[in-house]
Amino acid sequence: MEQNQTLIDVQGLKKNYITAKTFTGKPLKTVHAVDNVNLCIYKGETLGVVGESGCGKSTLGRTILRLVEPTEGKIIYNGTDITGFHKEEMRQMRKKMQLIFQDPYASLNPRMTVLELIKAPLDAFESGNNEAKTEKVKEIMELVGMPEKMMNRYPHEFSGGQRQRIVIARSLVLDPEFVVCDEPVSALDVSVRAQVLNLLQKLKHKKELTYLFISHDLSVVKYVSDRIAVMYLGRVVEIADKKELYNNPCHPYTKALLSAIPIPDVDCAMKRVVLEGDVPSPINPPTGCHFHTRCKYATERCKTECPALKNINGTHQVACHLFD
Amino acid sequence: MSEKLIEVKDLKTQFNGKNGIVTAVDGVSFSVGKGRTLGIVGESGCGKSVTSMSILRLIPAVSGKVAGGEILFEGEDLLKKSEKEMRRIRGNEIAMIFQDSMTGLNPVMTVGKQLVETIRAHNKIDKEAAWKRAEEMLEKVGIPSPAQRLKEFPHQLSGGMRQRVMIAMALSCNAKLLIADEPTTALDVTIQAQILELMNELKKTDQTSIMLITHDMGVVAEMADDVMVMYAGKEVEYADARSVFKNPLHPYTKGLLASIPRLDQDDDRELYTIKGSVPDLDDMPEGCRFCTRCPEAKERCWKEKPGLYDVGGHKVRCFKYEKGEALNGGEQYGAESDTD
Repeated sequence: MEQNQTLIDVQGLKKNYITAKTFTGKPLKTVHAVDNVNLCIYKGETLGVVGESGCGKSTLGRTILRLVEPTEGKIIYNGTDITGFHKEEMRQMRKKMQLIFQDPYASLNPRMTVLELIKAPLDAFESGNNEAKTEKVKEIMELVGMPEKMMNRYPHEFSGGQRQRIVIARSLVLDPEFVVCDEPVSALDVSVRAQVLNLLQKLKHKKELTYLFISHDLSVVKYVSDRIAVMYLGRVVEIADKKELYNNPCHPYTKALLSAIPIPDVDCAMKRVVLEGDVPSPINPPTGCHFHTRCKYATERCKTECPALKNINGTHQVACHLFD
Repeated sequence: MSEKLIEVKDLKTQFNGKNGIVTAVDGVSFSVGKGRTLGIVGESGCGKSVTSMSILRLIPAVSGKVAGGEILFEGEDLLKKSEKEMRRIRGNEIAMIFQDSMTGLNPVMTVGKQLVETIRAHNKIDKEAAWKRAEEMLEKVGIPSPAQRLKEFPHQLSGGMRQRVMIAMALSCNAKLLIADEPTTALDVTIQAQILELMNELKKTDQTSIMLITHDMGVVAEMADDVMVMYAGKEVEYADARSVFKNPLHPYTKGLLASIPRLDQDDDRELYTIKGSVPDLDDMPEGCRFCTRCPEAKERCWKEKPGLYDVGGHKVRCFKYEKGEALNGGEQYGAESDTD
């Protein structure tokens, strides 16, 4: 990693969804999908975001790209606050910030050929003649390992892994700096998953990309990330370097999450921390620390006071009263 | 090995495809002992779910049929049973839990009503006793305040809770064999841990045999006594769990294990990759079905079909082991694959 130059600085980001209104239009129920998140993404790194379904990890990714408008907070990209950008300014920014979707079966238009699909971003943003654009498409196809002769085929002719390669090619054709990967391998089979993960790693080094890698699978996140943020009900509860997080998890939730993962080895003695109960609803999250309903160390204080993220060991941050 | 509860011999299941008949399961044989767990692993389309549907005779007649083989459950062939007899066996003897608990439950009936219906369909008891039994079952699978939950509808429960209800339903008739088809795939990891724990407990207390179908090698390592790896409708490796994980023989199993990012290993090497993807069922290679992706494929593999060879109780479908032993060592695959 280079000199820890900040590419994206997220400050106090919040996103609320109103799910029910009173007769007069006042909000009745609000989902706090992202609840006061502060984090930095450094240039050239991969920041992994893990958490269970409904913890707000995808909303966080989309809010950073401003595909979803934040309710509160700032997103600072390369020193400029992009939160207030209007439509055209934001459109220009999108060249630099791209998204890779989860489901390659849903994110490709079935009526467009591979060439048209990958060329679409070029048509939207770049002037220049058709040949130059086609040339560029060929280049990127080679880079993601798709033979050039597939160019005129349609998505249904490809397997899941191949489709994900098309999605990746389309995201990278504009040479972005920052890519949000939202569960890019969850829909793929195990043997194909490794191919796509390796490809993402290769492209990152070749094109000097910065990734925000969202996944529910901790083994995958561990494989690709430099730093990892753990989310629970809209808040970041722990953030640390990969090695530090896996060797020395501090937050009780991180510990439980790590121990819940089955390891493909018959000799792994399991000292499992099994959490009781379910993730509470984000409509009515518990007061204080969101995790106190399932935490075995919870005290009175956890029920009333929300812990802030604190540095405990260099860059290792954790939001838990146990570490005051 | 303990007594066999179910033995499947040379099972063949076919479907009517667009371009003729497609064989989804092609001559699979295995058995599950009493009180044991068999893990069936494989990627999507390898025929693992079709195998379980065939056992319960749930393949719709319009789209396909079991074309051959025997399914011996406690010595009797299920394929020769009448539909009426099968109705008694489903639920009473063999129960099944599905991946998606929301499609498994009726959304417009309360949980209690559904449980009672199941219990009364299989036991001759009155409504009140059945209701009581339902409450006990929910308590057994670890649902808090069961009496309250019985009055609720499926959508009011969380995913993990619904899967518990499904398990309770499956267990309410004391089935001897539980077929679990990806029971935790739709759940979050912390909830998955709870459900796996529960299944292990029930196995211990009730001596239920379990057929666990999954694509997650981690889940299999944790739960299974025996493991069968399937690829494109055939079993490619079949042995006890320890042998499969410690000493995988088939190139596919080796590749599969090497391509999973591991939580317990601290290295940043590139992942091993199995080249290409699974061939279409109606476009299978002539010889070994894995030859198109196998790093060790020889000319012969493209032409002839390998049999299932026995290497000291460890069964594997690969010519390398034709003589009953490995021709060239059981080396594990590392990460030094081609950069793809």
